[in-house]
Amino acid sequence: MLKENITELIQFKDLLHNLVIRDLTVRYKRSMLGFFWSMLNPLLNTIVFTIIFSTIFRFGVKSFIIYFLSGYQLWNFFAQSTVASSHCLLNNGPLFKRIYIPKAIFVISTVISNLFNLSLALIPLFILLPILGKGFHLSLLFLPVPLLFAVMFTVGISFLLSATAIFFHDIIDMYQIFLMPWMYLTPIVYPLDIVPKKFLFVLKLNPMFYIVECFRWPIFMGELPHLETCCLALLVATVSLLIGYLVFTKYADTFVYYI
Amino acid sequence: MNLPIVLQDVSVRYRLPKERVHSFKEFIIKSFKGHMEYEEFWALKNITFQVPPGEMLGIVGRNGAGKSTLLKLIARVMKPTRGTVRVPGKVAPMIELGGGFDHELSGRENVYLLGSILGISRREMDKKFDAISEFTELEDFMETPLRAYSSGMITRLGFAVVIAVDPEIMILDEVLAVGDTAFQEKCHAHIAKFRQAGGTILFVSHSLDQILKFCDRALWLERGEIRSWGDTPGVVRQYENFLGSVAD
Repeated sequence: MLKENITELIQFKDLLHNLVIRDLTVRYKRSMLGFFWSMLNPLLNTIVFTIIFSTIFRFGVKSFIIYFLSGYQLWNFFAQSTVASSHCLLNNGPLFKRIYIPKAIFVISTVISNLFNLSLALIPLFILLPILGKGFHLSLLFLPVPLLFAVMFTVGISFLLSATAIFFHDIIDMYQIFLMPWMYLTPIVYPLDIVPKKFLFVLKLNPMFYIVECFRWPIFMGELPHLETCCLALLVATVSLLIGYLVFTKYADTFVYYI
Repeated sequence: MNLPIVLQDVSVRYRLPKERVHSFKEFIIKSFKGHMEYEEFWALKNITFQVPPGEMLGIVGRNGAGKSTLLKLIARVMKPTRGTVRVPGKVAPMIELGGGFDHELSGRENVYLLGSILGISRREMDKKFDAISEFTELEDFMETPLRAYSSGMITRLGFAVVIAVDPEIMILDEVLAVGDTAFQEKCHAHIAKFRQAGGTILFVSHSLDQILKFCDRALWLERGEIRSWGDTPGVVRQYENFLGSVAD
């Protein structure tokens, strides 16, 4: 079953390629600043958040920017991919209603094009890193690993959302509302040590907590993340991918009835 | 490759909630009340027929007779609830007015996109592109975004890509009546060539003249069942009589 699905995706790799190109060209073609948008938007956000939060938390502006950006960019990748995935099947319904296309390809192409945006969005972070006195450490070489966890987790949630949205359209709106508190339950704009000890368990129930920590640690602390954090990040990523994949493949043949 | 399309005792059931539940909220409320009633509807019932390679089969029937469902089975878009469907070879469905196109992309980008949907790799498409753009006679518009195209131009582009796929089986759903006369002639010539090369065609149309003109055999569907299947003139005559009796 899994093997079949993978060979099928390989068969359709050119379609995957074209869908990613389509996503990116449609997104950037008509905007004057082109690709710079994906860098500019988080930078503006950083300025706003830095003004507000670095004074509240007495964090020091330089550290705060790195701390914030390293978490926020990864969160953005997750949030934007999952939101876009939640309607990708509904949008492409007219297409797979007429021609056989493995449905997973729409979800995967959405995540890939957002991964491309993330890589652009990380450029300012890496430019700021030496300027703000953090410097480059060997630990940065570890980043592909947490990135892989993030992709696995994101694909899993995207599978789940896109399949559910076919049957219940309001899931898309509910999810977007849910994303806001979810972001604040992830330590992105505030440092972990301001959280009272007795509430720490709430954060630890949040799967994104481990993934963000894993990704930020090599950038912000300049060393490898704790093994325990890595293992838990791997665990939540695998569980998400597995559940998402199973649900998606179970219902994939029935999507066409509901479009 | 020289195998027929075979449908053996095929049935398709749509099982949909009686009132379409589109939101999760409604679903929860209704499930709690125990009010989820499903309506069963058999779109196709015990369909058995074959299409030998190289044949053109015309499918007739009124709206809701199950024609589209039948084509979806053959295009592998849907799986039957019961029975088996065997379709040997590559199927290229004609997409109504370029359903696979994106209006923000240029003509060229859309050709590559639709090509890859139909299973042509980028490298193959590089070789075929010139022939496609020549066939459409839209060479000067290939870099223009599709939103500037007229509907006729989009149809041409779609047709040109589909025939370039070099399929074994083609599905034509009410598409032969598009474009100007000259372009139609070109399409007809191409279809004739396709059949000489051994290609199979499934053709759905409400125009009985076209069915009579092109098809070797015809199939008449009514309420999901085969009412008649065989020589085109015979089936068309029966269907016409039926239409006459319904109108009275």
